[in-house]
Amino acid sequence: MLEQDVEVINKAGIHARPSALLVKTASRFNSDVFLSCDGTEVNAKSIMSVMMLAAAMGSIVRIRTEGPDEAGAMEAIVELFQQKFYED
Amino acid sequence: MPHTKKKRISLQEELIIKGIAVSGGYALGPVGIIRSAIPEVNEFKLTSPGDILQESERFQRALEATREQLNHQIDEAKKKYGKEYGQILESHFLILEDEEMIRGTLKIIQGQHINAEAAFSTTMDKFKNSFLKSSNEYLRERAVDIEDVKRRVLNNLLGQQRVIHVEEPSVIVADAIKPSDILNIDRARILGFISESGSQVSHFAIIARSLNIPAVVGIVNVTGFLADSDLVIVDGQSGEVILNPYPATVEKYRRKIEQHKKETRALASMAPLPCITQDGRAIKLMANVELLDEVPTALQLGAEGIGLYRTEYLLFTKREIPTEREQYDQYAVIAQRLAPLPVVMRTFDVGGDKVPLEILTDHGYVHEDNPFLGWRAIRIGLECPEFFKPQIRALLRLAAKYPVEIMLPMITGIEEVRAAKKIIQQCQHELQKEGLAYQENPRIGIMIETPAAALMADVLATESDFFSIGTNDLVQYTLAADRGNPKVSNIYSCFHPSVLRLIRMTIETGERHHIPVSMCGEMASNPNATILLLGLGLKEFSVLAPMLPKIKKIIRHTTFEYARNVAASIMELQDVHAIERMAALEARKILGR
Repeated sequence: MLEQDVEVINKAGIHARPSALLVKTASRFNSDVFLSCDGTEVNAKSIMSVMMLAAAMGSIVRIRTEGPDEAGAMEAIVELFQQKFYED
Repeated sequence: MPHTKKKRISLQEELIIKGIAVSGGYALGPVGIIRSAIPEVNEFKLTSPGDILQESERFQRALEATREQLNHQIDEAKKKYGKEYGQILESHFLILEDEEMIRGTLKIIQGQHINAEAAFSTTMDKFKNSFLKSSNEYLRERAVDIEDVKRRVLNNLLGQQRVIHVEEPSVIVADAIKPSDILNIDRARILGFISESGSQVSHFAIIARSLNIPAVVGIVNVTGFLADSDLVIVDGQSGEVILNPYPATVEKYRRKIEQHKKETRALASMAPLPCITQDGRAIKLMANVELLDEVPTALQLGAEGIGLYRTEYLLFTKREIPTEREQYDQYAVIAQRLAPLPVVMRTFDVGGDKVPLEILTDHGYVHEDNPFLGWRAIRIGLECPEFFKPQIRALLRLAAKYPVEIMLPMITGIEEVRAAKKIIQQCQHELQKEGLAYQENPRIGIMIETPAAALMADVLATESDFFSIGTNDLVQYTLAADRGNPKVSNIYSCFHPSVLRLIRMTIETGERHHIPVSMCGEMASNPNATILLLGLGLKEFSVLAPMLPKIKKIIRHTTFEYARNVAASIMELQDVHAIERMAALEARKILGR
């Protein structure tokens, strides 16, 4: 199991498009991927759960990956946050 | 479709809107709108482990079917409305793949033993409610998307439900009219049809013509500006829809409707007369039938049999393959009504373009970009005995009592005919073992509706008892033009010389091999084509019931010799437009106008 904290640095936060991107990326991996923010943890392969997280700019999101390709999954998800979901 | 503001036009003025006429005649009456509604979900307990497994699978299949439909819509939406609208639908796609939603639903089915639609509904509502409770306005708005996806899946689980309020004779109005809508309304209450989508060749348009009901399509946002009970006129000749007509207009159309009725009656008086040319060539004139409602018209107008009975409508009304018994009972009604006249029953001719997708999905159908070149008709039948056999058994049993013939659609080569006959023989063995009466020597014919079949007619004739030319598909496959696509529909013409050569080839081959050749495609119902077809040697026509008198009139007013000369001249022509002009001229000489 891997864990890492990231900050939401894109202006709009995790709204529709970033959520879709997160789910599509997480779904490429066999490992379980979870995101937590403000005490709520959600399955990153569930679009409705990720949207409900509604993480705004500046919030800290903890990523947890667990499974055969957990390192790859972690790397891909962290990159999305760092690249501001290719927005801004 | 993008959300168009629904605006009620309040008017005192008469409003004329031009659409496309797809079925002739006139109608005047109140509007009756068909709307889609969310199917009602009932919860019940599953009692056996088998049921639980079945419900879980049914849920997964409904999701898969919805994904297929959505994928298709996303492609269409991107083409028509640009990327942005496509993206909204893509987010719907992600909801269909939502792991928590799928897991949650399966947990309720398997843990609480609740049926699929109730379990799914509960799960989706939970998500929807948490969105609705959000302080974030954007998230609250997204509840609409969840509801939309829920409706899509429920439609696949429960069958789309249509709400129809037609208590008095009405002009039926809908965004899209489905064949099942027509089945669900008493024929006497249908005065006419107005629809936003559809074309000449839409399924409902074909039915409208065969039932002699005027229909106009292409009226954008029609359910938006018409309301139940508004007075409306449908002009199936000009394609006009007149809303809020002035008294003078109403009076004008009352007279037109009277006149039209008189003409129809005059033509109907031809019914008892024999269908024979002036130089004594007898032509067998039959009717195409899909609905039971059409049979009385066909008989009144003097049909000498049913040259094409489309069995597919059974699939449109039910959402699964009807059992052998259900099929037998349905077919028997028609066969009984017609006896001693023959009925040619065509086995299920369905594919990805015709609606009951969930039936096909159950048998391994996957989304096709090009359903007309895909898995359809006999191709499904040969691969899925569970699809084909109940129908064949029903037809074999029926043929023991009535003159019922079996017709195989979408044949391209001899191996398909042989494979189908092998299955038919298997069915005969089974019936024999079960001690049920069946026809030992059924008449088995094939549709000639692919260029391959026309070109191979001499070979196919060795295994066929008769040919029936299906022009709608033959034209589209020969000219590689989709009749539903306005950009290329001008290319689509049954008078194209290439099509005429294939037709001539088929008729001549049938003659050489002493098997009857009929035509059941729409060309047979086209008065402009009658003399040409007669001249090419066609002896059997199977036409839309209301067209019987007109076609008979032409045949009775010409000679075979004259028709042969016309056909010979037409076959010399190289240009489709020249052929169309000459054919139309010949029809006008007899019918006037």
